[in-house]
Amino acid sequence: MLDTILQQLIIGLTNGMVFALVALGYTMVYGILEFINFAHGDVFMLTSFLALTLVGLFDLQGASGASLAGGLCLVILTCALFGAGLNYVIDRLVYKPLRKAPKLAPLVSAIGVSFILQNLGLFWGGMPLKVFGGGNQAAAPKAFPDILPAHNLLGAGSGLTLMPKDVLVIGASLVVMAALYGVVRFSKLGKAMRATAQDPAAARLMGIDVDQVIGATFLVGGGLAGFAAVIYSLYINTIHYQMGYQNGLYAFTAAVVGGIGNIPGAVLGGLLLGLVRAYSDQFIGAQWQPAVLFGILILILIFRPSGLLGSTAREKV
Amino acid sequence: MTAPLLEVRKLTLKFGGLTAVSEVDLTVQEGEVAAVIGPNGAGKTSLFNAITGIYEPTSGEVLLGGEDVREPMTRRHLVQQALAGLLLGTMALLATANIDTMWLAVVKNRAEPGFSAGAMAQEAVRYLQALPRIEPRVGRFFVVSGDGKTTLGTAKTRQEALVLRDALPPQPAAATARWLRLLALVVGTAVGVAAARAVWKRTRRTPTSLARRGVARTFQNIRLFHNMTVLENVLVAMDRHLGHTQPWTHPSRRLDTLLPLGLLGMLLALVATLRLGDPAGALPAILLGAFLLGGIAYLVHIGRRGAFSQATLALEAAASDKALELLTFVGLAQNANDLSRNLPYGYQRRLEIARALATQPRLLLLDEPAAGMNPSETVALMHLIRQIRDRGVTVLLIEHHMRVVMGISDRITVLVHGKRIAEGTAEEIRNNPSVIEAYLGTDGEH
Repeated sequence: MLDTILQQLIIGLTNGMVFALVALGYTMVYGILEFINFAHGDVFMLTSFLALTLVGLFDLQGASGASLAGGLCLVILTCALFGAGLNYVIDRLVYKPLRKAPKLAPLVSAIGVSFILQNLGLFWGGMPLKVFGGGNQAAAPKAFPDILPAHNLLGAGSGLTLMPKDVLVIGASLVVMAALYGVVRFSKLGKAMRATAQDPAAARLMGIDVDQVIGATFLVGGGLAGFAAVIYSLYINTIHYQMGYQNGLYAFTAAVVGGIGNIPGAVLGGLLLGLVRAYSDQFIGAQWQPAVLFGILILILIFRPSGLLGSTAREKV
Repeated sequence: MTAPLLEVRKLTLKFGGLTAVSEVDLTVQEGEVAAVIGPNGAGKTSLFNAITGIYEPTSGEVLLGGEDVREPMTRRHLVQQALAGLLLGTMALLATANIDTMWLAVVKNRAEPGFSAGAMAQEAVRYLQALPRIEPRVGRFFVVSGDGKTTLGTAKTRQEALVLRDALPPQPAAATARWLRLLALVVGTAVGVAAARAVWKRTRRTPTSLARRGVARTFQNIRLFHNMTVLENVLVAMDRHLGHTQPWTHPSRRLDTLLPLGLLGMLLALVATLRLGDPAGALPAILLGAFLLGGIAYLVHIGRRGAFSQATLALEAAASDKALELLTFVGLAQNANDLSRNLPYGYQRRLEIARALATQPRLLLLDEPAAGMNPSETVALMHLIRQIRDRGVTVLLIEHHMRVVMGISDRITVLVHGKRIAEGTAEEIRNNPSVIEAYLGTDGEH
């Protein structure tokens, strides 16, 4: 029983880290623009396709030692850059022209971009790449090879399984989140981001280039989504052109439960979501997962309507 | 002595670490004009917001005519909260009871002959108690222990399995499963009740309920319905007192009209079906007939007694007259059909007052009514406030114009940094050294 509980803790934390990384992108953009970037989950999805393509290109399946470590670093770096670039380009092409439009205009455009990206994913999935299993249906889920060594770090006899990929997911996510926190908290860009989030007009008057700050936010958010895509693929071992929708929805929920616009809140919400999901899968049944998960989240929001760490901003009357 | 109209007791309002209002006492007697003054940021508007139900005070009480303004807890609320708790408790119970196996043990058996709803309920209770149960698997019926871990026997049919189970020596219930389910039920119920209570608490004191109890207010930054005409703004506020203009709430002899027509419809439909020689269609025909004729009767009723009745039209006309009277009272009658956003600022303030008066308040709260007014408008405003008091409406106002405050207030309360530092008549306040020091400074007028 204790082993089961601890095992689900590991699973919940690793899943939660992925949610948290994607949730950060939602929450940062919301914090600055008060806009829900529905396409964010699909940036995540497209990057996972890139990750799979790169793994095939570098022939990482079966590699070991230094070549595996080097290749993996290269994949993570490329994917983070790709996610960042894609998110940035979407912002410049689609959202920026609508910056002064009524709020529903960028929202609907974001939904549109989400569908466009899904179709790109479908197109990508139809490419005749060896790593896609050749000749497969474009819409079929793609198997992501298990490139990390699959042995139990706690010893073969232990009732608990802790694999290198678990350690990689949790450790790398913690490092990235700490780096993000440092940037937002201490760097000049971070200060500009916080100022823009609180009052864009005042930030402009202080000489902050708000447009640049928004661009940087999309870059960072996209980079996090790209990073999350790699570790998600390594961990779950299956990718699919529609996976951005569900994971994006979960991550967005995590951001809301943590308190939208709040960076530690997104991490907390993501971890909570991952843990609740793991335990409900174990003790209640995986097919009841969405109902149990969202039921509990509704309950949390009843007690804390602005999220766990959200500020209870009151309307000025 | 009767209770004062408004009594605020030790009201505290905190925003996170900031204490906006700290243990303020305030009493307003019926028929007087009272004022709250204090420097900017003293917590005056926050106090108003707490009184009118926009903010929930952190602690303290607000009494109106000696009664707490919060909606009291009634039996209905208790029942609602208990039901919400039971609902969540049951869901938690079912969640921990493993719905899939329960489905297997309770519902899937139904295909067997002789398995009734009563038997299903019995099986469900047995299942939840973690007593041995029967599971259909691969064409056989297994008798398994409450936690599903031990197979106690198998049989070909359900009946045989039942016999087998009953022949077993008394089996202990699976203790862990049983306790876990009980725990889930209890915790789920507790959380459900707490959630329902939390939701209810947020609705105990709302601007709506306060408005219905006779508290009206105006706002520091004007909050009119900008795209309505001046007259419409006032009419909206009168709606609560218009009486039954909605036909579906009209307390007339609705049943008297509906019942006979519905019965007639049934009878006609019955005769028709029997004459057509199809007795099997009689019941649907009766229901349809009742529905059709009853529906027609209801629509006619709505037209006659509700929306288009003489009484309703008269009510609407009376409301318009009343609204115009109020607009004349504040001096806006000639602007009745202008859009309110097109009014000059001073007029908008007056319209807010007229709109507040239209809710027929006992207590009117004015938040800086003279802000942005020139001296002659200010004098007119003072006159208007006196007239409002003479109509029998008690007034509590926030104001920075000392001439207005000193000129019309029967009683003045001074707030500084959220605390009440003085209370008294204009004369007493003017000569109070701590007020002079904290607020008025050296140059009397602010």
